[in-house]
Amino acid sequence: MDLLTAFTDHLSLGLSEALAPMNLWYCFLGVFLGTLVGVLPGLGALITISLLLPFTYQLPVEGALIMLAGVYFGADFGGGTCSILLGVPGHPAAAVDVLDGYPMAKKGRGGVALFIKSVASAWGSIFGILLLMLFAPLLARFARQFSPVEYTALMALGLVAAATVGRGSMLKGLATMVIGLIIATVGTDVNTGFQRFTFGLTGLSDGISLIALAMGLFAVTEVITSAGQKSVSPVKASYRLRDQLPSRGEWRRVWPAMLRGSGLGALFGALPGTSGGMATFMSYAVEKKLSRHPEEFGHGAVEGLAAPEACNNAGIGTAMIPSLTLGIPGDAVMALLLAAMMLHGIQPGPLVMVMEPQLFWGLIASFWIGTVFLLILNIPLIGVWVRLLQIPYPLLFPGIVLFTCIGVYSTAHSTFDLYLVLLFGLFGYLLHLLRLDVVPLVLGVILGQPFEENLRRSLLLSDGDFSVFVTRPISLAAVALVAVILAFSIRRALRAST
Amino acid sequence: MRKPTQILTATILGAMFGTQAFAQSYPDHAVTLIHAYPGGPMDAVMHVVAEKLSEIWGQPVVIDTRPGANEIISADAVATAEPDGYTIFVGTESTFIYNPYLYASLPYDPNTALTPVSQLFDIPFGLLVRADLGVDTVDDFVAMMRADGMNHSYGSFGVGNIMHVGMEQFLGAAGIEMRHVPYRVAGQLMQDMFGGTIDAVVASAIMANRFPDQMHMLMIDGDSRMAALPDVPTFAEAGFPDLHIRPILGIAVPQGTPEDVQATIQQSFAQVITDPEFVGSVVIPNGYETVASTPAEFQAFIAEQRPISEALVNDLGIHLEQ
Amino acid sequence: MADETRDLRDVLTGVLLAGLGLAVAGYALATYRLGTPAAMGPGFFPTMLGGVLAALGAAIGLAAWRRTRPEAAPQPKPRAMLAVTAGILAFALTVRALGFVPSAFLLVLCVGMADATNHLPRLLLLGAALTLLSWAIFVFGLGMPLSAFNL
Repeated sequence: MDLLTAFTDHLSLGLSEALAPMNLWYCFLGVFLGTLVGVLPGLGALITISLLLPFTYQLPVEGALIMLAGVYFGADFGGGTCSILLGVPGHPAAAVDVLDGYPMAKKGRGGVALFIKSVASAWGSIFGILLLMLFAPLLARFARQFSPVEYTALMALGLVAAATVGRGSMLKGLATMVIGLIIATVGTDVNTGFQRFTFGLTGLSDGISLIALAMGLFAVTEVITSAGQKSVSPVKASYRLRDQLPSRGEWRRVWPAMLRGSGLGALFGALPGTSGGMATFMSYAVEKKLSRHPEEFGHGAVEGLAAPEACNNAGIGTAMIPSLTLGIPGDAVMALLLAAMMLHGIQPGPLVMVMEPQLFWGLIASFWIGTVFLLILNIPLIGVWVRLLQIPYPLLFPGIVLFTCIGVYSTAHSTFDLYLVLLFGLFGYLLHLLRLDVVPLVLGVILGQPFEENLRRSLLLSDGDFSVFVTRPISLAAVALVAVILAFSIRRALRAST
Repeated sequence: MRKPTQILTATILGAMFGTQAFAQSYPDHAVTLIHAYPGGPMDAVMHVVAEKLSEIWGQPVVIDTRPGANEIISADAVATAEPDGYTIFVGTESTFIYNPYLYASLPYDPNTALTPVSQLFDIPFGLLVRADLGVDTVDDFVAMMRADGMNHSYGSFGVGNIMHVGMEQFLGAAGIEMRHVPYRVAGQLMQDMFGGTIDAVVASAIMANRFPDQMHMLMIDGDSRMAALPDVPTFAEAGFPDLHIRPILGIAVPQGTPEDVQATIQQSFAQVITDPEFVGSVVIPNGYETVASTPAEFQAFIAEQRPISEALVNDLGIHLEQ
Repeated sequence: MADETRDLRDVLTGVLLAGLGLAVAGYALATYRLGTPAAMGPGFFPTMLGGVLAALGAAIGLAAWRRTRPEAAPQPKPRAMLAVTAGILAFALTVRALGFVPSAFLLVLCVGMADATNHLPRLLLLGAALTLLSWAIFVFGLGMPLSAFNL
């Protein structure tokens, strides 16, 4: 039981570091600030960390990293809160929380939704971090099996799965997903340096800003749809904690979903470049497929909230693997955390674990403690957040638009991004009128660039031979699943139309 | 530590006095550094620099990022700012050297709109190969590629990026060819290199330092060998005396900024980046080298590099349309 | 309710999607190099996507043509669209020139018009409150480099 002794050694070392009173305080402060900022639409973990980075110069290195990690978890959590209450994702990857969380809030069950989300995300974090502690080297080796071919096949699977996520028919889901892929081609083509669909606008040369797109499609579209409607009256909800608890029947549906979600999230998190969004959408699709009542999805199914949430947080845990062991950031937020290490004179890389075990394991243990803080902080806060819903919508919606615009503007100081918010808001409204769901579109945009790049890279390396996708086991399995899903949906579409 | 209220006061004061600020008292309110790489390693370095500058100046130094379009957006933001020294551009060889030749047109005049003030750093690049490729010297590498180059790949961050242009420069000098595989995500490029899909890149010393068992640096740019990599020959020692692959980091201000303000900026930056403690904790670990040149030196350097880059871009036939 | 009319909204959806797909594929084909699978040009992927979208649009439209309307489709709301558009435009156009405070105020005034029950005094009050709140959060609290007034 070498693994186990090593694990307990590391755990005790880490906890002794993270439980130091000052570090506890920094952890709490980080989680608290992260949650507050993350709730604001458009402000995700990235901007929160970059805003707070200068404030951490004065702290000792452990404190600084622990606080920033707390911000990361807090901001991620806060983003989902906004998705559930207002239908506006705090950051693009939280779009999946809108699917079932927002309908729950509309039915006056926002508190329950927030509670389930808190528990599912806490479980996801704990599970992901446990895997990180136990199997970091193994997961890193698993990730190294993935060449561009496997990435391409897996992303194709993720995209097709996302198309089933919407409320309409699968055909419509596929169509909006493809629109998303098309939107993602806007900007410089990394393989040739060619500018596609930019029409001479400098603001488009790096592609459409994902934040502007998501804020337009969700916040602005939702405001246009709901403003001025008599039916949108404040939901009557109770603030007592007892009324925020899910029923026993709901628990029975939540926990297996949480387990499945966290497993999926942990595996995907170890693959750099797949972006947070993909795993959560896949996890949603899996739940919808497995559920005995798929018709509830999109109308407040608790599994549809719990599984992606657990998946997302488990992914955050394992996404730290490439960052901490290789010194390669898994995403922009990780890049900032690594930058914070450098600022304090610690070189990220494989040696951190050996040279600074106290820091390394202390940081990891602080993830756990941060998760606990999140729970402690958020369960009482649920009552406060739910009160937000008591504000009459005519007074609320101008604020939603204002905060969205400021959030988007402050990320890049670009008024161009504001025009994009407007454009996508109107586009989203058009899709709403045509009864098309925007959620598959968002995943199309998130995965568009990496999907195209990996597809082209695979074929470049195989000299244009498409058979590479079916001669490697992982890729073959993914391609087969794609074929099955497509065949199934085509058959259903044909049957429905006759 | 910068407090929000300080920034606020500074902003209000700045708005009130605006362009009337006099050079004698520069800086008397917040100075903004603008660059294009939020969250990148350079962002981290510039945060440290900004912190030290604000200690020297006694004024907040704020970092503002305008990502995108190979720095064109950030450079344009500074080019159109007030020429009072309170808006400083931080950029790389993209803006200072390559962009005028990569793009048919730029929103600002690349020759006059920005006044280069100082080159802060050099980042010497070298030829990095994965260890299990089985080559130990540049000669072995060239021989292997001469025999079978089109079945070997090198990675970059896209057409026109220094990792592409620099590698093509080397391949041209050696008379060999390789397959170019562009990436957008650093993590996946490194992972593919670990996994064996990618055989070589041109890169700074960081990865070679970090992964001595998996990555081999075959040669590196520099007049003499790098202290951190004493066994790695320079380009000249390896037989490529005319090859130079070294990205730069420099600062510039809008055209028309008073010369004494430029001088203050240059001296303060130099004071920060030549400080031995800063060099030891930030410059060397990042694979940088401090340059801290004067405006005249930096402008001469740019004038010398631009024709070389123009010829290179034309030879490679790269055109990025705006 | 078995209505005898066709599902015209979905037919329209199909036609628009097919049109968008054809436009994308056509533009990409005409403007960008196609390349080969081994060395794809910039046009390969967009052309492919445009084609797929056109096919999906055609399938959606045809299927809708052959069935009756299952549910009422949402009706457009010009008032809300106009108000929100005006608000965001006002903010985008003035945030640099006038500064953050007047521009936020303008946004709230315009967007608030989306609801007919919002009368002017209430909007003025709401505008002042929200502007103050957002200034407190973003500029004071988070220290974002936004200038409050540019007069």
